[in-house]
Amino acid sequence: MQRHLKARGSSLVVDGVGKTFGHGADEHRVIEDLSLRVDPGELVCVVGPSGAGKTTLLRCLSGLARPTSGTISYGEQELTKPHADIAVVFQDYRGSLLPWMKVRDNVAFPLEGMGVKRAARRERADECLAAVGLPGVGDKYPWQLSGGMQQRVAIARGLAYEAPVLLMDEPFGSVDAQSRFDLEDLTLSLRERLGITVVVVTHDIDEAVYLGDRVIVLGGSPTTVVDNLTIDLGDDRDQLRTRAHARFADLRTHVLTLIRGDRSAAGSADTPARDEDTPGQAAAVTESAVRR
Amino acid sequence: MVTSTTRQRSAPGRAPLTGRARAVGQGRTGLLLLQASTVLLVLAVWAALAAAGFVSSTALPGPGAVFGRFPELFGDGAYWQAVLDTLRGAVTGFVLAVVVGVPLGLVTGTYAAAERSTRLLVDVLRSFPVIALLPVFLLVLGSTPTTKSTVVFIACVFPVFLQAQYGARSVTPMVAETVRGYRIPRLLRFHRVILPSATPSIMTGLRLAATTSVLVAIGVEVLTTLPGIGHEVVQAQQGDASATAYAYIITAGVIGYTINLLSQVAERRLLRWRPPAHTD
Ligand SMILES: Nc1ncnc2c1ncn2[C@@H]1O[C@H](COP(=O)(O)OP(=O)(O)O)[C@@H](O)[C@H]1O
Ligand SMILES: [Mg+2]
Repeated sequence: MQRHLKARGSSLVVDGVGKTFGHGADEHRVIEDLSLRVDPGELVCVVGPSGAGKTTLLRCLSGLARPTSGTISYGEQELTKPHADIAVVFQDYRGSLLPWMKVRDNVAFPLEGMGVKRAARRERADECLAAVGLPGVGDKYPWQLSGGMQQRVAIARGLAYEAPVLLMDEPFGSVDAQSRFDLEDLTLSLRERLGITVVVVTHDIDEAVYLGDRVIVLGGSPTTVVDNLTIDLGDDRDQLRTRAHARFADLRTHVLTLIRGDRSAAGSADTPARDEDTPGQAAAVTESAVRR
Repeated sequence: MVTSTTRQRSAPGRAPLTGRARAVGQGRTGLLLLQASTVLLVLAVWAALAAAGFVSSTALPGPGAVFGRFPELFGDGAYWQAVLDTLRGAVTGFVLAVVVGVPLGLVTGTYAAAERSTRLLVDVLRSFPVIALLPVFLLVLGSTPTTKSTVVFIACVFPVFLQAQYGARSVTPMVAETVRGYRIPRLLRFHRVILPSATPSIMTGLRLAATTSVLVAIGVEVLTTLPGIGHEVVQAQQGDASATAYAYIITAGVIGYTINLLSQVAERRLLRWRPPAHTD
């Protein structure tokens, strides 16, 4: 499904992916038989408990890690290394900013790698810093900013790359509540304006439901896709009205039930059974089978 | 322009910082006094020893006699020529060591395989006492300034190389992942990521090498007939002008001390990006 006429880039397709860490006695299977698909212009949220393997999945989606089994492809190509079309905002924003570069240079660094001229780099970096609510900090070093501000710098760097696909790993975890709402709305408007594809990994269920066209719920041990929900809240999301909507409450309750049900079933090899009595279950468009 | 969030954050942070800066300032004056009195004490002991005549005045002239030589030496072209000769040999060898050692260290430090495959060779080479090789160089290169710079180079290149290699390995996994994720090209990665990561470590190597370079240059001059401070010390001693010999030795000490000061200034400038906790 092509959501926007102007949507850029290609589809990300994850097919039967498994990921194992360690060897022999230390072997630890984190992800098993995970399949999903993200089409151009979609905004997809991935939720799951902490330690489920969300970061691991995102590293595979970005081409930074290879799955142990299964394949990940971007368009026609199998993704085996980082792709020019894919920008990543890392969960460890602090570690991913280069401490010897001023904030502006950090944001512009990927552009430097692409051979963009200095003046154009500066301009784009300043634009992106302003977009995340940080005008005028370009000449500071990262350590001079608070955690929340550093996180926004990392997001600005992801935006500056102007890739058709933006992957973000718990991107709003350290920012204050107000900035968080602003950044969520910024994400929505960027997707709308630029037609980019966005994948947001989060453990915040409300955030996932508010942002997503779809929410992919991870669970189980090893982790796999437990549910794939289409969020039918329309395209015009509003922090106050959308969150107050009865449908919003239904959807978030549904996701929460899945995640809690999964926790109580943790350890069992079976895919946790879905609670058919969940309010809103009937109305929520769930897709048990992943679209291929 | 600063956003309101920055202002809120830095305002409470500023008060303790000034407090600490003041404490450091007080400590610094006290430290200077202490250091000055230690120097004076050593000079006093030296003067007392010389005056008491435990050691003959030809072996150990008093500080007055030694420092009394400087006015004349400063007016003597040969003194400055000797200083220049020593510095030229030291600086040439040092610069060569940096030009060769830093890039090689960074490259081998970045690629684990390169580091592993060169380790044995480097360990063997650096274990050779460089002064013992001096006769070989004299044979091959003759008693020329090139010999001096070559020996200095060999003495300096290993600390520089090893510190650069060690520094290159200090790139954090998260930074490495960021660089890979944003597809930063190799050359840019070297000079904008690996080099700055390695700078603190490289600076340690440079400081060590700078002091070594003067030391080795003088050592070569003492052992050969090559002109320079070392040569003047030997000449003065053989001519029973021990006060002059000590004046040259003190000159060498002042050069070493100046190099240390300069490298500290350079280090502070190069590492300005580090948070204050590090620069202390
Ligand atoms: N490089 C690694 N080596 C070994 N184990 C890892 C590695 N990366 C992640 N893991 C393990 O994979 C599991 C999932 O981690 P992660 O993907 O970070 O989860 P999440 O992001 O959902 O919190 C954890 O048990 C973690 O210990
Ligand atoms: Mg994570």
